[in-house]
Amino acid sequence: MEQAFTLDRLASGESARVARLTGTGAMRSRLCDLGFTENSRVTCLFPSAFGDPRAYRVRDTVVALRGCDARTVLCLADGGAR
Amino acid sequence: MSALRVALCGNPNVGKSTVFNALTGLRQHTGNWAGKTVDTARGQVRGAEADWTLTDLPGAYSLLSGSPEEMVASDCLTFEAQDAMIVVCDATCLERNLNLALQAAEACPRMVLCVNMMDEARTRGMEVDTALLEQLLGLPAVGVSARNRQGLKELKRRVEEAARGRNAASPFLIRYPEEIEQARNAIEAQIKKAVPAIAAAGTARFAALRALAGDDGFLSHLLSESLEAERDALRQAVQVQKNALERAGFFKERLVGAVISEGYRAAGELCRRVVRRPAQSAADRRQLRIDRLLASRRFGIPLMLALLGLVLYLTLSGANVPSAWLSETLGALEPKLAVFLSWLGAPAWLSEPLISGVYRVTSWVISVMLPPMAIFFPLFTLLEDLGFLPRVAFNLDRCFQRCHACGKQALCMCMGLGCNAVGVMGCRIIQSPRERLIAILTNALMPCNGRFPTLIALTSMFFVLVQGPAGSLAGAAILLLLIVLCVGVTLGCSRLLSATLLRGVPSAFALELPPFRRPKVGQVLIRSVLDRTLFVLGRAVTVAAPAGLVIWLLANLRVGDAQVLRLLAEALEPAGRFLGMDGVILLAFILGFPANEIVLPIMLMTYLCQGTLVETQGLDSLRALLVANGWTLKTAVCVALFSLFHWPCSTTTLTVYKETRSLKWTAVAVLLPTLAGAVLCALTAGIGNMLGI
Repeated sequence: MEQAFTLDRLASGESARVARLTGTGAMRSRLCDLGFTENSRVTCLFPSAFGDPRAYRVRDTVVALRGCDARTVLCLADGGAR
Repeated sequence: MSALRVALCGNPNVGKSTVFNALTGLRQHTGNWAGKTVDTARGQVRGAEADWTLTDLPGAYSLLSGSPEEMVASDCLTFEAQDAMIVVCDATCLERNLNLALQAAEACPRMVLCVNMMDEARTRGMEVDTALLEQLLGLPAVGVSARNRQGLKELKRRVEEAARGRNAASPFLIRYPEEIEQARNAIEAQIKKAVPAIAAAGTARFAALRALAGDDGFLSHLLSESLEAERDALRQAVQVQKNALERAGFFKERLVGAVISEGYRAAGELCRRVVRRPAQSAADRRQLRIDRLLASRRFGIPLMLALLGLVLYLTLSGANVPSAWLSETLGALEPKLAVFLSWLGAPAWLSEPLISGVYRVTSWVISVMLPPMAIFFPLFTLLEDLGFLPRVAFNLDRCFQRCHACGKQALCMCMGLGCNAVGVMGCRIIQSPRERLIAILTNALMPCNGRFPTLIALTSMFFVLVQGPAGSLAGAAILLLLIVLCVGVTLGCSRLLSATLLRGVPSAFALELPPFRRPKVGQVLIRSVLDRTLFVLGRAVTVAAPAGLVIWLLANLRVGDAQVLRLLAEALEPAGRFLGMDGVILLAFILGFPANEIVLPIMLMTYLCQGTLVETQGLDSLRALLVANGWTLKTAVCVALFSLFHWPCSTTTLTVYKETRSLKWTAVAVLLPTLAGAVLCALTAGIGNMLGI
């Protein structure tokens, strides 16, 4: 069985697939709206100057998330290489 | 035939405002970042068959749930009948955009998909097959490059066709899981019966989905619009269906997730067939490299400071020559104007206030303000169009997070550099009410362009003693330092607010970083000079001219033996001294409440009226005038500080009230910067006195 991990653990340059969202309320629906839905592919691009937030590519757009919010996105390792 | 009602909606930052401007010929301000348009705008379009009223809705990521502004867009589509709707998509990230388009199609089948930024997609080596998209969707899809005005004719034609009901009978609709479809059908029937506005608009199907998966605010809105007799039945029907869904395992959050996932799955499938893209183009790689550099630990912040410094340097060094020329030319006109007035037979009591009052202040405002603004605004707009501002917010977010505020506040602050009223309005991009309020209350701590000329003049008169390029460089460094100070005070005040009046923990933060876009330099120049510079200047002049008259009157009206102006200034003298300034300066700040631009002119007028009649030609004579009135380096520093931190101007104060709808918060917005300024000035004055400066 594959090991699930949270999005904030994803290193720069690596990709993963979204398994599910564990957050609630406004942040959960915002993440959903931005395309962090089940099975969508996320790539961590780079951290900001102070290390947090980080920029992620999802569905051809770049979205910055704080570590505490990225922690609510459960991921699975991405099967195919880029 | 009455005008067609057409709504324009789409994700944030897909070029909706550019499409709106191109269609209406209006000049809504545009910029490359999500949330630029926070207000709905209306405009008239001259179509081929009919005239339209086009409504530009605020950008939304979803029509089902989101911030109050996004729901404005959704409510408009749900409750107001539209003859047609344009959904603007960004061709470079079609998948995310199609998700919204599919939601919109449920609300209004008379829809046209406007696939914008086709030019940019092509430069990035992408191909978007709009014909195939149209076929798959069963809805008209038009490829457009709004910036180059390509494809607009076709867009207009298709919109008019759609409005005439010539769209395909059965457009592509998302099939949700069976349980959800059943619940939705039941509610749809009930809504058609209960809410006449929605029955008329033909949006019951969409309203039913929103009632199930949307926020609670929508349900109460829906109920308030429903017929009295049917209200309870509708409320009950929604509850019954929600309960049924919960029994099937679709709890609120899972339900929303299922609905949105389904939309994205459909959008993803469409995109796989319609969009052809290279794995990673050279442009993408270059973009990533620049982004990494701008966000790097070592270079990120220094690079951003350097860029801001460069803008300030260009402003300072470029403004010197035209400023001097304007001041000389307008000054030379003054005696001619006097001759002209006496030729007209104007008595001295009229020509005196007109010339020494109205004309002198107005010409000062023009010659000092116009050149820096005409340079600063276009440069700033270029950075904005490039997509630089979200990167600033990205890098600074950590600091705001520490202060329990939102990083998007940095965007509002950048807008505050232009105009605080605009900055306060821009705070709507912040979702959390607590963080939005912090951003609103602290916005006036950033110096707006009305205060820039004062700061620039003070810098060149008192802080920089060398001339030429070295002087401009030193001046830019000092201005940069002042702006960094403002950012620091803003962060400090935000922290203070979130520890006292606005307690709470930071809420969620998701900021989109748009791709860099090559700005249209020509358009930027024309737009920023015509729209922003002349607008601000016009406002300054219309305020400055009557203010000049009022000052002249105050100086020449006498109570007993003393001028009214003198009496007022003397009354304020102790407070002014305490803050390291004098009564006249404090009076100028108070009289400058209508607009910050006129603070320095009022000071000069007041000094001039008190007997020291010096021609205000050039900065050297200005400096002489100020020094003659007891100014020292300490005074200049305190005036600069107080100019950065004092009450917001009348327009900004009014905007704060409009945005917060609360006298209490408006009072806080006025008091907070004033207190910050008072503390800083008193400290500076105290330290200055101690050191004997």
